[in-house]
Amino acid sequence: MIRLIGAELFKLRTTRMYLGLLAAGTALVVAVTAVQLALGADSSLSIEGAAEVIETEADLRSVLDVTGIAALFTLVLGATAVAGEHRHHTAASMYLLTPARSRVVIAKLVGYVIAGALFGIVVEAAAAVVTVGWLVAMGAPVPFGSTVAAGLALTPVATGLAAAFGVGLSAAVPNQLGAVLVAVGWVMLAEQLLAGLVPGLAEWLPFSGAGAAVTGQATSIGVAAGMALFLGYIVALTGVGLEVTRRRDVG
Amino acid sequence: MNYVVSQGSADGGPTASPAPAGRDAVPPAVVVEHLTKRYGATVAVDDLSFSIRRGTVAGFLGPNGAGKTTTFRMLVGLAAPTSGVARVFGHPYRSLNEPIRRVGALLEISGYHPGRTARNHLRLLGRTAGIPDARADELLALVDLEYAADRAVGGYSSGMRQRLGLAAALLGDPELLLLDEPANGLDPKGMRWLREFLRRLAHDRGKTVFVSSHVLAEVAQLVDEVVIINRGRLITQDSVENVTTHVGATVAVRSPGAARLAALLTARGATVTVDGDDRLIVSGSAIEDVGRLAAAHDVVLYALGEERLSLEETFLALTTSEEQP
Repeated sequence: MIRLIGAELFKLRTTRMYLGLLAAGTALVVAVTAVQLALGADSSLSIEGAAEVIETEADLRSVLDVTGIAALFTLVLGATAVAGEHRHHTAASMYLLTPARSRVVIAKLVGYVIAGALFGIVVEAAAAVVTVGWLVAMGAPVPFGSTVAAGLALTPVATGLAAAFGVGLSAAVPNQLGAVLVAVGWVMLAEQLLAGLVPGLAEWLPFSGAGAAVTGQATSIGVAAGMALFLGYIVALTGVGLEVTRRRDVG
Repeated sequence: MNYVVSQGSADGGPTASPAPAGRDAVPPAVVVEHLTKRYGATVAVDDLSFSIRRGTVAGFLGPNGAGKTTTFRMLVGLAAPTSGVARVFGHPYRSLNEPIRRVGALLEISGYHPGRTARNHLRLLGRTAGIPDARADELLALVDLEYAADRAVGGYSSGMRQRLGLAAALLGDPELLLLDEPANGLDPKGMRWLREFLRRLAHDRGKTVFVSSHVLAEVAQLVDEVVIINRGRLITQDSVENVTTHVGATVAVRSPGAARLAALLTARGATVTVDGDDRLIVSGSAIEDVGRLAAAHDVVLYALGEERLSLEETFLALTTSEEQP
């Protein structure tokens, strides 16, 4: 299994997709962070302005919180995991080497959790460099504490889990474009629609509920419950994906 | 000239000879028994049975759409049979331990990530199977692709891709090679390279090779025997020599009593094509039998001779006759 996980990480290293998504995600996070800082006060280019934007630990955590953007990227990354093998007709080679297809899907799941967590760490570091650099440049204090540390620790967890959700989806919908559209459509449209139509449902949905709770953004369910719920969604989706993968003829 | 070839029981008809399980101590490299694959109403493979002995170089022949690729896919566990069994070395492919070291497959359905280099493609496959990276470089040299090892496969010609596919199939130095249309996309120089390459693998390194093609000439010089299928069904499995001797021989007759002789021959199970007023082309009957029959019924003969089809004509005759309603 370790060999298979290593091979999955090697796959990600040897094509441009992962690095491309990472570059795009980091650029977007840097831009959003800069805009937050620039527009957060009447005159952000001063110590008073800086303090107005980031006065407390909660303010700093809020600015550094890039989970939403990064998780969307890792979700899309995961959605290409199995479906991409079918798109490039590399699924045949993969299953020739490892005929037990469930092992391949599980290896992808673990590999993409690692890749997703790394993605979260990189974009978070980029946001931190911009924010802390700006505070230091303005001569303002950096209100670092346990709240900020918890946020920093949970973002990679959230991005890793979002990637795993994408892998499960990708196994269940083995068409790359289809899987990516379903992933983005679910987060951007379906969840918003469902939350609007059914009051109280939002906190139980994978991303606006459980996923948000993972990083402490939701108030009604805690981090642990959010994580458990999100893991439940991943397990269910992966179960469907494993069955589809097991039954499907390749080629 | 129009050849019609029938297959009666006299010449053995379609030969299916999977080795009975348990009789041989060493199972054949490939055994296919009553294998059927249906996609809705379409029958891609229809009750197909044959076996390939170890150490054999066998051709898997049939026109495009005959069911060769589907059979290969079922052999390596990529598609599930509707019924019947497909085994390699006596086991379903999926139950083989470290299959890459037993079976190497080049399938038409295999692809490459266009952005990955050939070296990384082979390294990736090797890492999945626990094979050192150095093996990738050895294989790139073996298939003459060292010069393009660090180029993205998306920029490869079809011939280069086929070579890379062969390298991938050889990664685990397997005993059996299943090669699905390896000559596709190759120019004449590439085809000559492929023939030499496969000949070396088979005769110098003792591999069992089962290679498919829709063009008999591509593999005729290489194979010991052929499995010919059409529309998913077995036409024959035999040596190339036997196929051309038994199926590829016809008897040409010129006689003023051509119509009467044709009726006599047809009644005895031969297939007769009337070519003009006094000429017959007879298959399924030896020249001696045609001569004796004519003499016994006082049919005057102007000419009696044997004509042998080329390999290609034999192949076409076999597969064309199957397409007759």
